[in-house]
Amino acid sequence: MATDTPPATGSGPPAGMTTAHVRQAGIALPPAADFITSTWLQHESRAAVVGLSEARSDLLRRTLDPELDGDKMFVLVTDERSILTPVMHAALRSSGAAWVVREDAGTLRDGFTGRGATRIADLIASRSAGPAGPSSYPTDTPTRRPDADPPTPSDGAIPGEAIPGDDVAPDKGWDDNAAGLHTASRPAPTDTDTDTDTDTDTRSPIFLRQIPDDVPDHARAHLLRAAAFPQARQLHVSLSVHHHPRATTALGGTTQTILEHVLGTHPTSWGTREPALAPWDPAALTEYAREHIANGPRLVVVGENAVGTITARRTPDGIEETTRLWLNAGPPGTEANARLARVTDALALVSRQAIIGSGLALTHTGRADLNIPPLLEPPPTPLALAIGASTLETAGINVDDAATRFGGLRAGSRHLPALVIPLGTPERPDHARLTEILRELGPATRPLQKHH
Amino acid sequence: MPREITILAPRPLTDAEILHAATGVLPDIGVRRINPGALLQFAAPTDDGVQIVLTLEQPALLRAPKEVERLHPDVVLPHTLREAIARAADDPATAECVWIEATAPATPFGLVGIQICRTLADLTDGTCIIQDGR
Repeated sequence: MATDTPPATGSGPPAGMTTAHVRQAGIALPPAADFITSTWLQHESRAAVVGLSEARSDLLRRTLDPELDGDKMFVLVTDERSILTPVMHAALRSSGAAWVVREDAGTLRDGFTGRGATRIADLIASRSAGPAGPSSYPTDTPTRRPDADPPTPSDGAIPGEAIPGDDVAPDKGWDDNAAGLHTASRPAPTDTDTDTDTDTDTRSPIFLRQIPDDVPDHARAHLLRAAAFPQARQLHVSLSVHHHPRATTALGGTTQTILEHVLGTHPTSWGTREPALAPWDPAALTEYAREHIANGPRLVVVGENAVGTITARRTPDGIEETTRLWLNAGPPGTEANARLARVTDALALVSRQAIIGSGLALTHTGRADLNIPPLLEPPPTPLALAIGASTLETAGINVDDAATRFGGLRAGSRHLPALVIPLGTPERPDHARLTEILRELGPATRPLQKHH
Repeated sequence: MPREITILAPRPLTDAEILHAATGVLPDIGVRRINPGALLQFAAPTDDGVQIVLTLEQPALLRAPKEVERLHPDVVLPHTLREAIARAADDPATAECVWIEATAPATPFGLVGIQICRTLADLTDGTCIIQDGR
């Protein structure tokens, strides 16, 4: 009779401990979990597209609940063939979870940073010690543990979790072709190509889109297929808005406005997990969020060429709705760039419809299906920054002065002005501009600067 | 590593149909509800107790057909199911198609669970998607 003892190398509990041991220790094992050790909960998937399913969401929730497995890290293990939905990727990053990729050669790597290892325990230890390289863009801290305070958009922080691709250093010399594979004879970006002190020696060559000579043929074929997958200009938007606690409050407006204004499409469905199977219905979505507001509900929204999340949380004077969207703006080119250019106006439009906290729009080239492979992706380019009245007031910033100084737009309403600042374009990325603006805006934007 | 299974069916399955399918695969199979009724779990008796063979989640009405393509891009649906899902897109209010997620252990016991899922899919002219890396 077969046992459910996990493989001995790289995947199992610490040496000498089997799943049976874990069970004998009296620890309940959820159906989707492989095993639970004293430090991590492991879930291995061979799904082609790994989404935030009910089972995975449940496992993640366990590792965030002090009464269940709150002292353990959630570890997703996949092979080279799995890709993550943006929703799943963001959920892992925001909860400080790990993504371990089994390479065909038997080695392992961190799916976020590319750091290589031979044992999962070593990757977990390295994650606890910090990411492989500094994040270049305002994000939630990648290694945040469940007991850490979440970022608070109302404090002026950019809302949301890590943006796909933001955990990698901006590698100079990339031609912004995410599909570009480096053969063994064409070296991938090295230390000298980066702006950071990332130790690229520890990163897997496959993560760096190299194909080592000793890769098996079937693995080589897969890597080449993955590289040939259609690419698109992706738009990532994170924006928080404040709602007064009224019966007429409706969530979902940010999602609708941005999809309509940038893509000319509409949200089509929503759900509490993936798949998001309910037809788009802001009233139903709001009602669900209202009933579950004590738990800070996270909802999944889907549209044509778009996917995203809406989270809601109660604040002292209302509800804060944070929207994160990933949009496919089309194949790299002028049409996609024209769509991306609309995001500044879209943010301004939202600021006239609602009380915005803060927001950021970024773009990078990635898979047209918006999913995230376990490979290095080009760094995102900041497109636009939105700052609401509360942050402006705290910083003592005159919106008209700031608009003139930074080349921004005065947006919002007469009584609650907002500032929307264009930051760059795909052809003219300006990574320094966001840093400069945040520095000049002063202490009120310190939460932004901390992550930048 | 659990095998991840998705059943797409043009109509909901009754408890009786599910139990009939399960006992048809393994006559002395055990069943229980866990997670306050959210999961239906099947177990096979063994010499030293029981082994879980399948955990079925609550079915969800499939009223957003594009989610099939987004999360299972390589799956080719049977014609009748494809038509039923298309009707669900046209008229979500009367949609009957369901999306059921399940997990089965990656052991020989899990093969029993997979057989149950296949039986349920066949029963409704639906499809059973098994994601185990094979």
